[in-house]
Amino acid sequence: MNIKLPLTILGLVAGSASAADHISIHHMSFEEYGDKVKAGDNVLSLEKNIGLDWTITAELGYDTVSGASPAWVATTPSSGSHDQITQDAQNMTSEVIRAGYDPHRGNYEIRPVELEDTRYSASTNVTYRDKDRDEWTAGVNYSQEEDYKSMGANAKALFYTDNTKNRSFSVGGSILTDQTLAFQEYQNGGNAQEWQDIFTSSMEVGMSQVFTPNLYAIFTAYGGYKSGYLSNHYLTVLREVDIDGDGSIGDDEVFLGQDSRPDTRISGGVNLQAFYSVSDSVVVRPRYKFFTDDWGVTSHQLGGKMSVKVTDWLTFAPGYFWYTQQGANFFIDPKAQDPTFASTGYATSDIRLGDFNANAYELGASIKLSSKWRMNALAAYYEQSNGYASNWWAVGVTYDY
Amino acid sequence: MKHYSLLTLLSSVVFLASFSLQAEVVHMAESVSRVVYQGDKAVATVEPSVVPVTIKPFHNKPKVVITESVVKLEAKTKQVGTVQPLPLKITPRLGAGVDTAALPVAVPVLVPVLVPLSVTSPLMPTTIPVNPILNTRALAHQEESEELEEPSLFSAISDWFSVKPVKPWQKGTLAKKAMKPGGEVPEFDFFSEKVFAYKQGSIGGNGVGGGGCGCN
Repeated sequence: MNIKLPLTILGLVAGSASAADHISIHHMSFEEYGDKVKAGDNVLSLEKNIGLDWTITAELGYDTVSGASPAWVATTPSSGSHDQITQDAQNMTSEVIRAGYDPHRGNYEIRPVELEDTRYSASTNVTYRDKDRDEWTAGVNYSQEEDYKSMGANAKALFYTDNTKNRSFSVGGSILTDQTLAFQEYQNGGNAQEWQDIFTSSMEVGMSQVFTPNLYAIFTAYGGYKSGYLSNHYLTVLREVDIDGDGSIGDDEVFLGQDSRPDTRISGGVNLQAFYSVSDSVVVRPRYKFFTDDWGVTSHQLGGKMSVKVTDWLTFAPGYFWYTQQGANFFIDPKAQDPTFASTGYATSDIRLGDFNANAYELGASIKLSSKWRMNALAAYYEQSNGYASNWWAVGVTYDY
Repeated sequence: MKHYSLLTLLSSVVFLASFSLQAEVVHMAESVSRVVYQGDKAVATVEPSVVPVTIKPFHNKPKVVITESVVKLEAKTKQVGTVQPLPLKITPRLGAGVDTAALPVAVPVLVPVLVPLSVTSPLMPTTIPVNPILNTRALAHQEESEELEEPSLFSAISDWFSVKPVKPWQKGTLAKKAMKPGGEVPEFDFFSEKVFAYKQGSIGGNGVGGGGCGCN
């Protein structure tokens, strides 16, 4: 989990695309409260159907991230002696010790650290429907930013299990080979950066069932495996290193360390979503998602979205999601009375891997300008029980052809 | 005890018989719709005799075979926007669900067949006799035939929820964009999921697509 905004979630858009040919462009503006991260995201989407058997989707993205991310920093001015003591600490642990030593434990503070980056991405998916209308989808994607590269491929097959096509069964998988520019061990007064590999694979098995002419549901079981450098090189922790070997940790034996996570992550869960047309103008889409992994993270997400057609040209789309998460077993809240970690072992103070509840509210509107043009707008607010909050809005147009 | 005149009783019987016949015709119309939908896979041959309807598979391009018709098929096609595979006159047969033995009067033989206009199907090669009689023997046990449809994977789900198969022509609502995973505007979900993935510790479950998300 990087500090940056995820750029493309191909499966989501590709899987939800409608049958009509269209091209759309949307801009999202994201802002965290407390003068933290600001992001602008621009997405150009295209869908083209060739006959009844082929569908091609493509997506181009460009986003910018700026602002500041909270991280531990030293507040005592550095001096020449700090280099040597930091090197001593590095020599006593296999974990990465970062530059920025403070001789007083209590002088470490969490402060916003400036960041700025841009990202470009592209992806495309092709779907083929055979004589039984079973679907075969394959896609590729690529993105690049200053300190992160990603390249991947995915495939999915969907089979109808009965001749009435009221039930389908799907299986899919994807792989990603990423690279991130990570900080290395402290040496010669600093931390050099090197490219580190990240491998991600995921798999999903799903089933859909039509219950009535107004109701159907999709059940999905998913799993994932990641390996490589999974730490967040933007984030730091506090580590206690007994550099004088006296068996106790003094106030001057606390160092900045690199966020450190296991180099593998196995995860999985289930996702259940229903689609119910209450009336000709009201559709509800409730959803529940469960997630768990071998880091100790477990979460439940429950909520849904609606589509309320007010007039022929105006549709509202309100939504709400509640989320609860049990954090990773190597997480320590930076606001805890003792936020420090031992000299070795996994360590993170990333609140996104901590315990919290969250609420997300959003209200969207789609205005039909003509038979081919639609304008879309969205406003959303998100809050967590740990004090974090953010909002985002989006505007865009869609042209059906 | 109140006495009814013979005419009143006769009228009542005729009324009940008509009602039963109407129900039967509706039932047959439903069967007809079902056959129409299967037109891309089979040919329904309607014979004037008591021989059951036979289903003949064909490949790709069906052809219209009309030996004779009581109406001009072409004109009818323009009127309803679809080709109706059956003649417009139906003479109920014995054993077709109407207990004609109990009827003291003749049963009307001219009954319009109601074919849902929403049904669109390819042209069906239908042989239409001079005095067509719909053979309903093969269609009389529609419920049984539905139950005997090919067993499907996870068919127990239908049993658990007492799900009745939804016909293709009943899926207009399900096909609406608002009923798709992304809703009316998929980009709304797209942005929301990005924020959730960015600010929460859970990953996956939104499709197998990967993504250059750069979120480790």
